[in-house]
Amino acid sequence: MNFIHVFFNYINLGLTHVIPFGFDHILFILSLILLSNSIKTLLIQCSVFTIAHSFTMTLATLGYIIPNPNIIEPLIAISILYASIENIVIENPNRMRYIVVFSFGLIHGLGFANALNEIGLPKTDFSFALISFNIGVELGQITVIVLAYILLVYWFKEKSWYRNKIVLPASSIIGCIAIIMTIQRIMTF
Amino acid sequence: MKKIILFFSLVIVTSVYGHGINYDKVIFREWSADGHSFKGSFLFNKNDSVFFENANQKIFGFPIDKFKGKDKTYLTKRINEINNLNQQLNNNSSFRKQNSKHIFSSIFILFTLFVVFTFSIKQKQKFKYIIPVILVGISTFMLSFTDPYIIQNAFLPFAPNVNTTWDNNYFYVESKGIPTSHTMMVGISNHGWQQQVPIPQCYIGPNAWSIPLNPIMSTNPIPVDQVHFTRGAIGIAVNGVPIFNPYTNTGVDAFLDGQLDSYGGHSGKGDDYHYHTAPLHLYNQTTSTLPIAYAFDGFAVFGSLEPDGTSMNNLDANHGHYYNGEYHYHGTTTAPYTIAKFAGEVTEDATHQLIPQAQASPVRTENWTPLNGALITSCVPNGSNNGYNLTYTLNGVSGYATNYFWNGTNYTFNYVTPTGTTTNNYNGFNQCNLPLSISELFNIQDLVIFPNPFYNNIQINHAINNGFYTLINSAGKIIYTGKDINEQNFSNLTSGIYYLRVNDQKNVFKLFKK
Repeated sequence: MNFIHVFFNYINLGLTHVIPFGFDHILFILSLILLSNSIKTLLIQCSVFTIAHSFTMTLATLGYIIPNPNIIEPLIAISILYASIENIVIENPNRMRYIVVFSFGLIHGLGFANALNEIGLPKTDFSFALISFNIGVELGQITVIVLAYILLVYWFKEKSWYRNKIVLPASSIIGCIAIIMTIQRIMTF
Repeated sequence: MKKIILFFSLVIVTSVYGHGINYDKVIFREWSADGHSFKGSFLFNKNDSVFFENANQKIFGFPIDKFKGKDKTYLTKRINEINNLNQQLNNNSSFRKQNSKHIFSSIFILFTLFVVFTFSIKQKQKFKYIIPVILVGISTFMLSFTDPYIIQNAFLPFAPNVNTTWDNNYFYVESKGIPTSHTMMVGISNHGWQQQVPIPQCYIGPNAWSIPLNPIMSTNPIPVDQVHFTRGAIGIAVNGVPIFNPYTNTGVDAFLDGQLDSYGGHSGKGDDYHYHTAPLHLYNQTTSTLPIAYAFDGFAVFGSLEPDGTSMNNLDANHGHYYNGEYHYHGTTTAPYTIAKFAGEVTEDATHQLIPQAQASPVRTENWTPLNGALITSCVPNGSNNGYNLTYTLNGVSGYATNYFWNGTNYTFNYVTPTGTTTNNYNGFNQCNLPLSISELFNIQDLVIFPNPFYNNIQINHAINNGFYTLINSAGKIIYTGKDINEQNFSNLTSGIYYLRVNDQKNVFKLFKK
């Protein structure tokens, strides 16, 4: 396996772990986007999330943390539930929100690490494959952010009905999906 | 505001769930019967008499019609309560079910209320967006929880031959895979018999059948066809016999090919008996509103009726449907018989079998092939009940048989033909015994302990094989332990209350010595 091969292979794996398999991560990112009135708050939230999940994903893949999927998976679902309900309750992201997003990012990173664990990493080019996987995840995430931002936020964010007709119903729907996931994951725990 | 709400919710919760003093439950109660007035605790009723115990452990009885007014209402209430409890031993599912669901759902509702209150007490208009989340949450919670007692109900009619247990994730069915209500193998014809015979298997303990208790709907149902699940079982019939894919491992419909007996079953490569079609005939032993089987994705398989007794609604591509909010399959007499696609999530391993899967233990080592022209005419247990005699005709000629029995780990097969008998011995597994728990529950009701109060002897009408008894006095001292309680003389015991434990600590009877 040469470098290029590993690179594209693991980028592809990372990408497909967000679209379409990382349905829960997409929902979480959507919740973040829905509470971002400006590019600035969106960028802060998403980069805080990215830093956090890259951090734990690396630590877990290197073997410093051993995540238990039975605990991580329900927590990921709870994080989506939390984010979507907070979207309904608060109007603008505050400092507390960033801290919460960061800690949920740590949990999502462990989820990615579990996924990566199932695939396995090559013994040679270990760190290179890990970085490629992470880049793939980021690519998938950016795709979701850009698409959702253009479709949901960019055109409508100045409208008076933006919050009532888009943010609140969408968050409510995400909340419903999240609570189903939470309960199903807790029940199989 | 928050504190006030918290205060009032605590007041409400404590007043609703807290228990007050109930004067009906006071131990020593004042009674008046037939002009006598006495203090005592109600013990039991028998043959229209009620028995009491006073503070000196003295036991005495009165005919029930001697009591009047308040005493009589109280006694009737207690006797009804006792009768209801005894009924629930038969049908314990409804009782426990409500209990566990009640606890879980109240915890869950309290938790959601807490979340909502902390978040949005200030802005009431946001409630309408949170309410759907709560409703979806509650309904998912209620539906994703399969009650093990409901599943157990389906298996109970076959109790002595099927044992069930469960943990948080799986409902386990233990059996030997042998039907007791019908003959096996008879009717297999043409080239359908692959010279396999039924041997009781050990689907027990870690090798029990596992039904998921919290089924998850699959987004991409895996079909049960010539490719998937061609090895191993896809479900378990309520009589403990596994159900396999209707297509055999060579890809033909086993039923249409004549490989099955008149009950839709035959023995596989491990000499393990299993069904390939829906065992609708089990309704001869059970009621038609109970499932006939459970699929290994956790959903029930019903027959031609819905659980409430109405006729079957239309089926979806999986061969099932939602009914009153719960998914189940239906068994039919034509393909795909039970399950077309697994509606719930299941795991298939690389050899195309569903896991977790109980395994049969093959005894014979030969590679048996279909026997052309064979027609199985009978398969009956032998006289010493340690094997079977299977007779068949070959191209219309009788005098053929495979007679086999086991003795410890030795299995002896006599292959009989009109020209002579070949005997082969094989080394196999030790035949096992099913644990007793359900059957015990059943037999306990057949257990008659008399007389009570007893004088010199305790007579037990043995309904349990190998019953093991322990007699304990009220101080907890063991008086007798062993199997031969009928032969013991207890005349030197002081009078009072004694406890008789049968087999296991769960079954304790209260006895009185006079």
